[in-house]
Amino acid sequence: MKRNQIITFLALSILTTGYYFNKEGGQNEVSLDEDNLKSIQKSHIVRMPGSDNSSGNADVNNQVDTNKKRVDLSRLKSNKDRINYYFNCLEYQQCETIPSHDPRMYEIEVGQRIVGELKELYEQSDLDGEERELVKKSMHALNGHVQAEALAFYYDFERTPENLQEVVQGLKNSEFDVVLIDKAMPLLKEYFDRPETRDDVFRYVSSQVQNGSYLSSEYFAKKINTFITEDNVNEIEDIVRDLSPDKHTHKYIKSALDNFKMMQNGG
Amino acid sequence: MKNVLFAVLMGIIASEFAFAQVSTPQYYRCENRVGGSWTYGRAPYACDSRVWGDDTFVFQNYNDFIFSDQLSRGQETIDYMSRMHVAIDQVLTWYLLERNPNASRGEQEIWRQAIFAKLNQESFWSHYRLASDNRLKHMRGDYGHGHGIGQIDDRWHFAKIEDGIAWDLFRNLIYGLEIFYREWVRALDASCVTGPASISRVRAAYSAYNGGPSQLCRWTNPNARWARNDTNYLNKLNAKSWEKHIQAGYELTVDPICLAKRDLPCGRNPDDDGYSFENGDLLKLRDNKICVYVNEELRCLEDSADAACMSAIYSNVDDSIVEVSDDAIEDYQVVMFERQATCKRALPALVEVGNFIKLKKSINLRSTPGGGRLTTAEINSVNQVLDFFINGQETKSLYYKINYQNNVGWIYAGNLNTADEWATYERDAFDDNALLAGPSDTIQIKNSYGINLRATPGGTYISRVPVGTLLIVIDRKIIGSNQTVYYQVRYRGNTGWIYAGAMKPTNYLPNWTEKI
Repeated sequence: MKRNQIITFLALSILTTGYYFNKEGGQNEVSLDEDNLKSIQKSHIVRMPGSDNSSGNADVNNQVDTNKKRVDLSRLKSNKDRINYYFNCLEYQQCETIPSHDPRMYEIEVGQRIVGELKELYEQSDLDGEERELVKKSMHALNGHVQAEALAFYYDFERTPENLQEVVQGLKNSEFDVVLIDKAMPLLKEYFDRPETRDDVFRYVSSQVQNGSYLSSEYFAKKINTFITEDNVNEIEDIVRDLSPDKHTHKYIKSALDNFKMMQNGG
Repeated sequence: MKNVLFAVLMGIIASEFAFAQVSTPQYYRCENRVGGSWTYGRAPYACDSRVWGDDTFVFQNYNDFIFSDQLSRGQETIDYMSRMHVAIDQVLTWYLLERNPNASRGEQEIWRQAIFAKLNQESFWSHYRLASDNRLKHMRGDYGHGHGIGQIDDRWHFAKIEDGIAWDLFRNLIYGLEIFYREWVRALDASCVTGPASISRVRAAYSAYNGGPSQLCRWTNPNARWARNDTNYLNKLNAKSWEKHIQAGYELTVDPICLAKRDLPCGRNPDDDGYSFENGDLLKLRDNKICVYVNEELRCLEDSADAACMSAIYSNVDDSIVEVSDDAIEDYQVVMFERQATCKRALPALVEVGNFIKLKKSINLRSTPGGGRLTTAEINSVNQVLDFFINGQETKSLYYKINYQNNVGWIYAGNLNTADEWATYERDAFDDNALLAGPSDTIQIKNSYGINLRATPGGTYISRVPVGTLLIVIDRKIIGSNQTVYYQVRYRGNTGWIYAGAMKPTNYLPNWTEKI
């Protein structure tokens, strides 16, 4: 071997060894830094599914204290166990097998793993109560990728005021994420077309136009024509009156109102 | 055996790399990367800006905010930082008051310092840089995942980054403020935060901005993996070292709030009420009209985006725009001009809205004129013009809005001298994607009330055409800055015009008729 090849080989060997060690840990175990965790959480109990040694099939309803330093991921048999586990990783920042080579990587990685679990969960025919709660938790997560995956469930769920509120709360949590909002628009429109939830949708939309983030207020102003009816047109006129004319939101809503009135009288 | 071992090793390395590509690889779409220094305006690394957006757009609109490696470093740092400071200070205060008009003086001040320090920690206030290779660069940090001044992460905000939000300095700034503001609000409920105008709130918002929303209280944990970022942030917050590179008295050529709101083109704000106008002055009014001042008269187009067309109205138009208040113009008569005809006179190669163009080369389709790339429109494709934008009084760079294979976006189409090399008028063309109907096309009435048939566009009522009716288009008119569409049709023996919706600022054509 030439000298350069030897150096390359040695470098690759070292890298590979490190990779394997990481990979092993990633597949099988998580270690928790007990002292660190305690300093943050003080007396809180941490629920880490899979850290209960008594059962091969982890019972996520068990509360497990921080004395359990190692979690066997292979024993998390279900999607909900793993979703719970990853949410705990997010909450306590303690899952060492989640890479953190730059400041954002940890949360991005955890989010990707929750997304993967949600994708599988979505293929199940029915959700139990706890899985349903996890979908709600995912919808409310402060991670647009996780929320977008959770949103898919809500397209399948029954159109109830409660389900609408869960979606709306999730959108509020990521109010500048117009990509997520755009994914939710057809669902919001469906809810708007139902008399029992129309007012709730309109309240959300009008509040975003008036007081939402800069991006979401502009987004909803552009789409306001979707939500104008004879019943709320006066309210929308009040909104536009309160908006400064040099705002984009004013321009979009004004044009939507003009169009609506033209449609009412045939142009 | 040696080769087999090497192949296995490479396979393992490759698989790890593939795993990292679940989101985006490091230095995604980074061309001609250059280094830099940990100094203001020059943080490493930087990659070609043109990959994400049109350089021409940057030079025309953001020229005040480009750090040049080709000038004396010390003076350039002062010039760059002083101009950036004026702009950022205005924008971040405007943003906070937009979100919370009742923000106290104390909150405003600590918000300013929080953002200045954040931009210091994230990017050393770096964004655009004209590098020594003579290419315009765009700053990339965190292994290339962080984009620009706010270090918008391409793994977390991929769709928006593809749309050009991180490449455009002021969109990047606003998007970064949106993210930071959420954490700023959330911080109030965090156990580690003591009050609305406290340093703890600033630190919590930064921890979450830097590490993710779950990390509001990361700064309280010295053992956190990225605790050093929180420490460094605090040091910068205390040192305020950016102030050492800022001098008073710098004026911008454009109004930064206008840039932040993207009310392009933007002008400068005169700083006194006694501004006197001269013939050829280009004025942008509060209601977004663009006017040229000629002999105590304002000759105007409805939309300031058409500023480059004003040379058709007056031969010696000043290239810089002045934003004026209503009071400043109250003594002058306003004369309105028609958009398409005026712009056609300014740029004869312009193909009017509704007509078709044939592309003479493959051209990037972008989300905005000069913005993020959506796809590439192929050479020889025929596309209907849905709108146009002309940039620059002298060069007159032309952009068309088209619907290319169901992607609505903007293509560059040359300038005053080169327009024919990019796209040409195509007579009698047909395009399945055409949104506007033309002569001989069949349309169906979609408005549930029906549409009134009138003798002229908006004129005397003849009858109502009910929903579902099929009609043959005889002629078409597109009127005004909102591009209001009227079709001439024949219905039950009467020939007249029906309203078919406005195309701007929102496209309402589908509410009215559908091209069959």
